[in-house]
Amino acid sequence: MLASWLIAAKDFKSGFSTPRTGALIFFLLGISAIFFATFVQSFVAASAQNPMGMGGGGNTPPIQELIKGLIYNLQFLLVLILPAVTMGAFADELKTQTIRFLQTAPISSWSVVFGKYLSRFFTLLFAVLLCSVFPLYFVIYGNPEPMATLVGYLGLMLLISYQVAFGIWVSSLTSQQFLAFLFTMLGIFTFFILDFVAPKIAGSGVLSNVLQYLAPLSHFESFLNGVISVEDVSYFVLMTICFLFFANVSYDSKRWR
Amino acid sequence: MLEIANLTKTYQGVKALDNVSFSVNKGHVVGFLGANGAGKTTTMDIICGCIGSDKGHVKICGYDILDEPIQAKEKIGYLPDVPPLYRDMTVKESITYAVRLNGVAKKSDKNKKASVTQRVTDMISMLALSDVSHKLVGSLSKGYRQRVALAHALVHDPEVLVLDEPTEGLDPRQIAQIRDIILSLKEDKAIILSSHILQEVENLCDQLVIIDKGKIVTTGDFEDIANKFAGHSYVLSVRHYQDDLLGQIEGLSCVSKASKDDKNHIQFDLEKPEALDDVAKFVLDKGLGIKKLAPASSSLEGIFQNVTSQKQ
Repeated sequence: MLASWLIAAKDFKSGFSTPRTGALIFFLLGISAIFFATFVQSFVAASAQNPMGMGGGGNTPPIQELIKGLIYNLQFLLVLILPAVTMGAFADELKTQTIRFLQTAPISSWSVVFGKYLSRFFTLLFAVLLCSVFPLYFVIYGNPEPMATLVGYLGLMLLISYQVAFGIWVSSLTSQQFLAFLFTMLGIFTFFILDFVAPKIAGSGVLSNVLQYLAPLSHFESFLNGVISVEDVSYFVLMTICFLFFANVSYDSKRWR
Repeated sequence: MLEIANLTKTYQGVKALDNVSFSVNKGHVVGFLGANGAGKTTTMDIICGCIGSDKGHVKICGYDILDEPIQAKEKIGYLPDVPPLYRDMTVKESITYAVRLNGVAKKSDKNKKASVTQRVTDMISMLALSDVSHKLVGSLSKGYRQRVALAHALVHDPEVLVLDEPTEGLDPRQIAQIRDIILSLKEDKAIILSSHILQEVENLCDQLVIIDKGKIVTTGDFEDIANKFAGHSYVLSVRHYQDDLLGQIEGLSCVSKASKDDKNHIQFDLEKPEALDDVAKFVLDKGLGIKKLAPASSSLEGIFQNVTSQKQ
C-alpha cells in the first residue's frame, strides 16, 4: 500500500510540473464559470419575474436545482478533461521506458496500477474542489440543501472514480498518449449513451436491461436527487474495481508480449 | 547467487534465447558478450523480471523471479541499456523515490525518515552526484544520468547487479569512474555486465559468458576460454619476403587459414599446434630466414571473433 501512495504522490506532483494539468484545470474552471454565470443570470431574471423569492413558485427554480445543474454540467466537461489526465498514466512510461523502473522495483503490479489510479483521481478531485467555489456562492447567498449538495458531489466523485479506472486501463494498452486519450473519450461517451441506444440495439429483452444497467447516468442521477442507494454505490465501486483489474492484467501481461 | 537455467524466449516464431544457462557467484564480475541482437538484453530483462521467459527459470539468491518476484527483486539491481529516469525530477528527488520504492527504510526502523535521508546522502556521495543533486535529471549530461541510474540500481544494496552497457556513450574519464565504482562493489556482490567495449570487459571481468544468436557459446574464466578459442594462431615474419609466400603458406595442408598485414607479417591458423614445426621447416627450406615466429595475441577481440565465426 505504501508503494501505491509513493507512486501516486510522485505522479500527482509530476502532473503539475508541466503546464498541461494547470491548463486543463483552467479550462474546466473557465467553462464552469460560464455555466455558473449563465445559471445566475437566468435565476435573477426568473426571480425578477416572480418576486415571491428564491425557491418560490412559478418559473423560479430552487437553488438546489441550480447546484444540480452545475454538477450535471461538470460531469460532461470531465468527459473532455478526464482522458487528458489519464492518457499518460502508463502510455508515457511505456514510451520513455521508465516502466522498467517500476517493473524491477520489489512491488506488486497492483501497487503500480492503484498508485496510478490514485494520482489521477486526486488530480481530478482537486479540480472538482476548485470548481466547488461556484456552489459555495449559492450556499453563502442562498439556502440550498447541504446534504443533497454533498450527496451530489459524492455521486460525481464515484462517477470520476470509475472513469479514471477506465482511463488507466486504456492507457495501459498503448504507448501512444493520443490513442489513449481518444479511446478513453470514446469509451466514456459510449457508456453515457448506452441508456439511449440500448433499446435500439437490444430491444426490450435481458440484454437491453443489462446495457441500461451499465449506463452510468441513471445511477448518477439518483445522487443528484440527494439519494444514496446501495445499488448505485455498488455499481460505481464494481465498475472501478473491474477496470482496475483489467488495467492490472494489461500491465502485468506486458512481460509476456 | 544468480542462477539461470534453460531460458528460452521466442518472439513471433523466432527464438531470441535458446536454452541459456549460466550462473554468477558472489565476488565475481561476469562479462556477458555477444553481437547486436544476440540476446544479451533479452536475457537481462528476463533476469530482472521485466519480461517472462517461455521456459526455464531464474533464481536470485534462491528466489525464483516469477514465483517470488518481490523477494527476488529485493536482491537485484538493474541498470538497463536505456536508463529509466524521470526527467522532471531532481537527482535528489529521483534517488529518494528509488530509496522509498525499494523499501530501504524497513517497518522496523525507528526513524524511517532519517534512514531514507542517510541512504540518499550515501548514494549521492558514492556516485559523486553532490554537485548536481539539485538539478533536474533531464538537464544532466549522459555521464551523470548514467550515475543516477546506477544509484537507482544500488539504493537497496542488492546482492546481484545486472548492468547492461554501463559505459555506453561515456567519455574515457567517465568510463574510468564507473569502472572504479564497479570494482569497489565486486567484493560482496555478484555482478553481470554486458558491453561492446571489449577493453572494458577485459579490465573489469574475471569470467565470460559469450552468447551468439540466442545460444550460449561458451562460459568460463579468461584463461580457459583463451585456451579453448584463441586457436592455434601464429605470426610469421621472414627476412626475405616473397610475393607468393602467403599463397604458399595457405597451400600447406596443416594451415587452415592465413592472412597478411601491410608489413608482410603473415598470421596463420594451424589445425594442430604440432604442425608449427612443418611451417618453420618449409620457410627455412625456402631460404627465406625467420625473423619472428610466435603465437598471435589471444586478445578478447580475437577470442570473440573466433567464437562467433566458429558458430557460423
